[in-house]
Amino acid sequence: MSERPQLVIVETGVANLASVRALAERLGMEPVVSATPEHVACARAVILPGVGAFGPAMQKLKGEGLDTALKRRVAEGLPTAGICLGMQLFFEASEESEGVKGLGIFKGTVRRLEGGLALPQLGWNRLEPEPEARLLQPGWVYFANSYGLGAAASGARPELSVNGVSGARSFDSIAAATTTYGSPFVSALEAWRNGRPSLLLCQFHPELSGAFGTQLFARWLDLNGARRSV
Amino acid sequence: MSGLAVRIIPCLDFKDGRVVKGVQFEHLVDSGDPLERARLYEEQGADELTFLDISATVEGRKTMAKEVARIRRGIAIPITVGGGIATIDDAARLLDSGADRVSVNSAAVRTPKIIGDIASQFGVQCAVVAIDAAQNGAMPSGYEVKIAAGAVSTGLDAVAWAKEVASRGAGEILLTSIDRDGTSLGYECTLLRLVARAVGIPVVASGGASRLEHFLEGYQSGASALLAAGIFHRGELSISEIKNYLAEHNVEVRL
Repeated sequence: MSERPQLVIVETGVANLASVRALAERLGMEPVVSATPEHVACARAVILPGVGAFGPAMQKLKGEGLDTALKRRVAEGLPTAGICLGMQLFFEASEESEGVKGLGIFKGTVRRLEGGLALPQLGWNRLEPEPEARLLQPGWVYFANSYGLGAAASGARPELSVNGVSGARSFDSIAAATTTYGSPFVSALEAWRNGRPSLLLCQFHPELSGAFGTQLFARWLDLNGARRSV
Repeated sequence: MSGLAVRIIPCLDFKDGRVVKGVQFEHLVDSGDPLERARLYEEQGADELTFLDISATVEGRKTMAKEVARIRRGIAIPITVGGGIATIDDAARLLDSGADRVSVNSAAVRTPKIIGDIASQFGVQCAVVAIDAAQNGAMPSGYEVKIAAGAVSTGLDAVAWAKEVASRGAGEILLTSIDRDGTSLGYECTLLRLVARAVGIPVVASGGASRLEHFLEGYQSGASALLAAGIFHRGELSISEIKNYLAEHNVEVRL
């Protein structure tokens, strides 16, 4: 590989990438769309976008060896973001595709949103972060989802899976945000390592959430120095 | 109470890559550069943008796809594009250019299978069906579906058709009253209520809104989103004025 890419958008085959690419460009980055495991493993920052279904997306990641690449970079604490389905893939499984294993970095099964409201949830809803969150701030964000990780009564913050990625257990802190659509679900997660933002998982679409989404990703990237140190 | 904010959607009509606004689908007036317009609306608080391409030629459609790509790079809210989408390939081209969702109208009536095809290939959230309806006392609901920009009567009952498109996998209905479009008389609330009650998917109200009260009436009639065009292009109402008005009436909006 000639050069370490600044920002890789993972090519999952089904996603419409124009909006995510536009988000990266607004941040002054030149994104590379790639399905090459080496790119994904070592890029300064990676975005796993998400449109499509859990099963086919996971199949594509495994088929290309991208699951291992993603787990490797998460274990190393390299900045990694997941959007919508891209967030769901970090969990163990999804009701959407029974019998398919996710990346399993976090415990939990993604389920169809409960509460009897129209699905998909389509439009702007409130992001309500835990007080500890530093990247995530309260505000309106744009959703287009039928599935999500329910926020259990015991607490919104999902646990890291013991079978997941060993290095991931060394995050300094993890904080979640929830959103309510009929019932509460986990709408975002941030994880820090060595005082820097590492993981940013969004069930909403930051690329379509106006200035709020752009600023969230600027915080995620700037604090890592990924933007300025090149 | 879903927690979702009611969406305010400016609609830009395009012909050969330029923004125009029709009055009852006929006399067209050019309203300026679409990217400048789109940015202005995003700054004012637009929750989404809808573009309708009324180009009649292949060349015009290609220009449209290029315009969508240019506008996509400049704005950070969802874009729905409709007009002249007849095949899955047409939809794919617009999505590749940067549209987040596509809306089908005449093609859905002529080939209803396209609704399910778009939903299964690109996701339910991508599949918007535009329904243009006009009063017709001979129809069970009192409203008939028209296609080809209102020029052709289909004999389809608007409410029955709305149910069918929902069952075929549409993620949203963009419901335009042809009788009200361009008239400033407000949304056709009877039609809106009938359709919103009949389907479990979001309905976007379109056609006729010109005053603040019209937006509140549309919301109260069951619309999840409120679309308008001319009043925004002519600067008669701003999106923030509408949102403030709705918020004063205890309607959840993104401010």
